[in-house]
Amino acid sequence: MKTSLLLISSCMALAWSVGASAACWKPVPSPKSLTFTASQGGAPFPGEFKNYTASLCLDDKDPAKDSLRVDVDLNSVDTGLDEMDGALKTDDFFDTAKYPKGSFVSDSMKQVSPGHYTVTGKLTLKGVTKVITVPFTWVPSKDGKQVRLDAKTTLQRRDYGIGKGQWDDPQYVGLGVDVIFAINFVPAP
Amino acid sequence: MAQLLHWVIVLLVLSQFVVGFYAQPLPVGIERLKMLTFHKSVGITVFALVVLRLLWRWYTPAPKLPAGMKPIERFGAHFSHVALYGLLLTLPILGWLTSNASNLTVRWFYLFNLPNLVEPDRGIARITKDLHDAGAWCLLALVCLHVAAAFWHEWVRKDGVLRRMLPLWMLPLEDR
Repeated sequence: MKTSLLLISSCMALAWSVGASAACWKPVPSPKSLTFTASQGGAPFPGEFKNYTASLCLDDKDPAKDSLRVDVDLNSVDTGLDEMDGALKTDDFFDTAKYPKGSFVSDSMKQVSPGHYTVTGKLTLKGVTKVITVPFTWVPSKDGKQVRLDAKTTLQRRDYGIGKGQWDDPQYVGLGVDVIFAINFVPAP
Repeated sequence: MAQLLHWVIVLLVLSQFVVGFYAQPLPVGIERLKMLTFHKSVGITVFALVVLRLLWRWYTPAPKLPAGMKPIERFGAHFSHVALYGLLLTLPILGWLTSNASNLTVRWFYLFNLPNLVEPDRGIARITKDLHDAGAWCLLALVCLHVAAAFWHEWVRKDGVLRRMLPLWMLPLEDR
């Protein structure tokens, strides 16, 4: 009896969480959900990170409890060009031997309007931590099983010491790098 | 006009071989990026000039081959010219495809981006790159044949085919 009650209540909790009350979420693994667009000689140069983890908690009653954490495996960078993937892992760019991970940890979140939020937090890349604010949208899918997060922000690569030495010249490697999140989330157990 | 285009294309194609062979073994880096940006921009230019030259030829057909050339010689001349034009048009496209399949957009002399012809795909990039390289060797061989044939016309047949492609200032005074 106790177990079935527990089961029922956990099912209900799941149902509620899908209905977007207080809940935590994790991403559904899908390709090209964390991408970036750098530029080479003025032409766009897109790529993606294949491995990352993310956890998003939204609390309707107490926004102070909202949180977002993203950890990116920088070694999983894929630009479709093997030589460039190799170069990106060297100390001219990410220096993945020393800093294999990039991370974002939220300090605060604000709901701007229904489905629209901004998150402010600490982004750490290559040992440099900066506070950034990123707007994002949070829209449940039609069947209510998933919630879609879309966000885009532009990082200045020099802020994090990315693209050093021969790569520094912004004529050949653009300074701004767009980072795009297009992630579907499901309730985290 | 056809003559001018011919010599401009000659200069550009020569620089393509020099830059192409120079850039190929370079490690990934800014110098390679610069060289290949130049190589791609010149390649696209060659493509456009060859199209222009073909249109020009269509508008004002080339002079006939000298009388007295054997059918096999005429066939050889015709075939090698078609092959030259074919390679001059396909090599830039293969290079363009290789770039796009390698996730690189082609930018013409840092001025504007060309549309991407294919989605990034390592398999396609490998095939088009091999074809581009093989095609470049064929083009080099054909250019040598073309030059040899020009001198054959000049020195063996003495039929003036080479001279009609030279600008006036290069000809001996009595022939101008």
